[in-house]
Amino acid sequence: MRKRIFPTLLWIGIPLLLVVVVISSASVGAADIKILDSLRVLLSKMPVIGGTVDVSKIRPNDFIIILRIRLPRVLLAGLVGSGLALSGAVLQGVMRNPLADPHVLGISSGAAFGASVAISVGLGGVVFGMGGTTAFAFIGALITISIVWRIAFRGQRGAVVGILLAGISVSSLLTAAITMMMVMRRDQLEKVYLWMLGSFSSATYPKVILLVIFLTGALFAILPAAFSLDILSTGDESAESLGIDARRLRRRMIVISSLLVAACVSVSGIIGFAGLIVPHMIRLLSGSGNRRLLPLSCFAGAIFMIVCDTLARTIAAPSEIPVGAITALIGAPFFLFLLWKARAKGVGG
Amino acid sequence: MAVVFSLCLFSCTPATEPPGETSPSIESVLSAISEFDTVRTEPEETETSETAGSLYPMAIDDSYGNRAIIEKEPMRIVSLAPNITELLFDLGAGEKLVGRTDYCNYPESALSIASVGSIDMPSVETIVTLDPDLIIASSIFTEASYEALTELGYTVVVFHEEYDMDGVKDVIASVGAIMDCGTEAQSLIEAMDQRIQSAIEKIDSENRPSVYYAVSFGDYGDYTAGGDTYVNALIEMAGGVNIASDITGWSYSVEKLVEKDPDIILVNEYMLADFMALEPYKNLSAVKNGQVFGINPDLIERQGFRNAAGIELLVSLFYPAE
Amino acid sequence: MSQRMLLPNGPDRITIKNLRFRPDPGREPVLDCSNFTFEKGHFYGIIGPNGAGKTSLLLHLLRLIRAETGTISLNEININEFRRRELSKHLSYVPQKVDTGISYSVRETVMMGRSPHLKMFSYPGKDDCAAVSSAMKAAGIEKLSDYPVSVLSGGELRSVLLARSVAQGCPWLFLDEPVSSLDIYRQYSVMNMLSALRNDEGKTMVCVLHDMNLASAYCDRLIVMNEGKIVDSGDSSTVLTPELLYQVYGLSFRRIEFPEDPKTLFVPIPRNPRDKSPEDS
Repeated sequence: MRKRIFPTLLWIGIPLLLVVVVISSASVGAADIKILDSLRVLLSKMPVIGGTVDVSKIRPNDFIIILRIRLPRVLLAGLVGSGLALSGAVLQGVMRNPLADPHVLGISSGAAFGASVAISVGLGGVVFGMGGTTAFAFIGALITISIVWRIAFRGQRGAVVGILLAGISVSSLLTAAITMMMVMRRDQLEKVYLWMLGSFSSATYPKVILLVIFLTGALFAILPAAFSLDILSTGDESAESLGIDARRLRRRMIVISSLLVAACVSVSGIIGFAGLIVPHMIRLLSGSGNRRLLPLSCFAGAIFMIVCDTLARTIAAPSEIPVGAITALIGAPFFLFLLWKARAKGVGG
Repeated sequence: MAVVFSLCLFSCTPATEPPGETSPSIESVLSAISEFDTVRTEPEETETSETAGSLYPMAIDDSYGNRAIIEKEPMRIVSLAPNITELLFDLGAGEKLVGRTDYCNYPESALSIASVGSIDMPSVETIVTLDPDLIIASSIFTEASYEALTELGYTVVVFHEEYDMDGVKDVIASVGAIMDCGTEAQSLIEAMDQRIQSAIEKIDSENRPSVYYAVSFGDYGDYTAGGDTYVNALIEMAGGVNIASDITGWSYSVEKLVEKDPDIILVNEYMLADFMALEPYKNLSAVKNGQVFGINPDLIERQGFRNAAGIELLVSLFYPAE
Repeated sequence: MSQRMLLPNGPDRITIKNLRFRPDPGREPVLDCSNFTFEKGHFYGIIGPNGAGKTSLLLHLLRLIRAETGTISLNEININEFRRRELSKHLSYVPQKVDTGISYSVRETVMMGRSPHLKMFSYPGKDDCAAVSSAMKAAGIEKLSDYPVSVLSGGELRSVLLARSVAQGCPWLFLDEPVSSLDIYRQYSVMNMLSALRNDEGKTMVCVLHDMNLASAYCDRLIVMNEGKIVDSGDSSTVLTPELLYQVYGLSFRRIEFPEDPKTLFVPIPRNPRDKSPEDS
């Protein structure tokens, strides 16, 4: 018998925690601003109570730091965390594999390839308020997606194994290409490497808006299918006998996840572990039912990423540790703990 | 492996004075060095053996304390550092250069010299075909390459200067000594001093501008010159106050940049437009006041004679003539 | 959705015509059936040796494999014309097992059976919960309600899938070896339950079974398959003969009859197979 924490507690507690995390993260950072002042700045921008907050003594540059550097960064981290966790949960269900992770589709390598091309060639430019690297990363991701889909969805079944293999092989190919490029342009090697490690340091509101669009779109497309996804995980034949077009559902879910992952990786690099372990954390708390798993994973993914990013930019301030290192430091031991627990119970998933 | 090890051990013994006279030209170089010398243990020393009237064979200890013996005047040199390449040309020894790295792009005539690849992993094969009698390297050069080349019997000297102007002048002097261009080295150093001196006269020490040097920004992360870097030394020398002098290394935070809001910002000239257009940089006072300047980073990042021009440029930006 | 259903009341009969299934061109076809019709309301047992094509036939009837050669019709309408959703309201499948890599609870699994009845984008409601509860009761697994399926034994999982099928509420049930590797008591419980579903609710059962005696005890129609073909079919009390069994299984069987009971038992004679003459009782 698995103990389940009351669902209501989760539905209220986790979003609440997210709000707390967002506000507190936006209040800390490398700049020397009193936490109370940060809170004042944030509150002053809220619709109803904003007018009552006294912000007269706060330096204008502090406003810029909090509202145009920290806040978009926290928001972007949350959105990317949500996106990665959501895609991770969906892919784990659709591939019937608890080890599935958003980066397994090869899209992230495509984004990295696009970014490394942009960096090596020295592409600058500001497109819609985003750097050329982001744009190129996205294009790289899209091209990779279409290649992987074409290979994976060939033939009758669109089988899980085919998708995984397509993703892995394309990923390897692209990684090799990136390595060659890094070697040919040694002076840009560090930049490419750092981009790939993942960072939210260049978060801007246009990027936030891009992610909002993609995440909302994905949620609208995925959440209604939550129950069908549950059924899909019992097997293609089993699902079809219950009226679900397994192949089409799987395709649709992978397409949507791919686009979401493409957006996430383009703005922030390759950040691992969030997509892998956040769904597992939620499963431990509330079971595999996608109706709870998917939305809660979004919230939890946001919390996880914001916390990791806040640590990344405050532990060694003003230096920044790549956020992917923090997610790995927290994520890997947690994952080992999950495995150990699962083996002790003799239970899978 | 054991052979290499013992070779290293052998060559890494601290320098000692050998018996014998020192020739007059070296003495002048030594005294030139000692002028700028402060109370530091100077890892570089040049000495000769007995034969009067001739510099060579010369024993020289480089920045790592490795002793190299230069048999005769070098005629075929491979330079594994952009700053060394520039220096050789400045000393008038440019025709002796037979090999350079991909990154040696100044002066223009350097481009016509054969390239041996990158700084940290130059192509040993290409070096061999060029048949140099001396290889000079600087920072970034790896121990692996050093061993590979010395094992093949090449003479390799590595000059890894200190992160300030004096170190640069030491390198000029040392290279000059090796190339028997002592007088040229001396005049270079004097010229540098002169230009720097006249430049820093314009400094108003009461009104130093705060400065930020953007190595990179935006998607690539925020990097600047920390307090322990050479660029920092130049900025300070040119009468600026580097806002990042309290950090070591290069990694910075855009928050701190906005918090400190410097008077002047220096950016790579090719990235100037991007900087001005990108969030949140465009909110900085320096951007709004037109105090963001695009410069050629080689003038202040690459140690060498051109730093004099670099200082002149910085001073002209920090203290514009009315 | 019901306006678009081709057969609002479910199929009365399912007919196969010249059904061939040859997944590997280099080898014999897995299925090679001439015509047969399944009629509503009967309890069909499909028996035969391993590799006879029993499971393949079942999967074709459910359209989980699409027929390449031959046709399958529901009331003369080609099965390929039906939408998947409608099929899942008429035909229910009880497989031997399902993927439990991502583990759900027993209740959640049984609830999945309600899927065909849920409108798009909606979630299970009161009626669905009631159906699930009664299905679990009928299958005797109420106590297991909150257990994750990954910890269940094979037999328990089978019961869960049976309950799922009951919750699905279809008039036709197709079961793939529902009682293999269950203990004797459970075997008979399940078969009793299936009988009850047929007798009380008029459902049609099509069951692949290993045990010919169990089949002849519970099923009223038997289909004997061998090497992809339907060798014989008909009333279960008359179809089986030692000759037929010898032809199909290559073993001699002894018929045991009971004076009070119309059913007979067939017991294999423990002797070298491929004896020349089949033995009589």
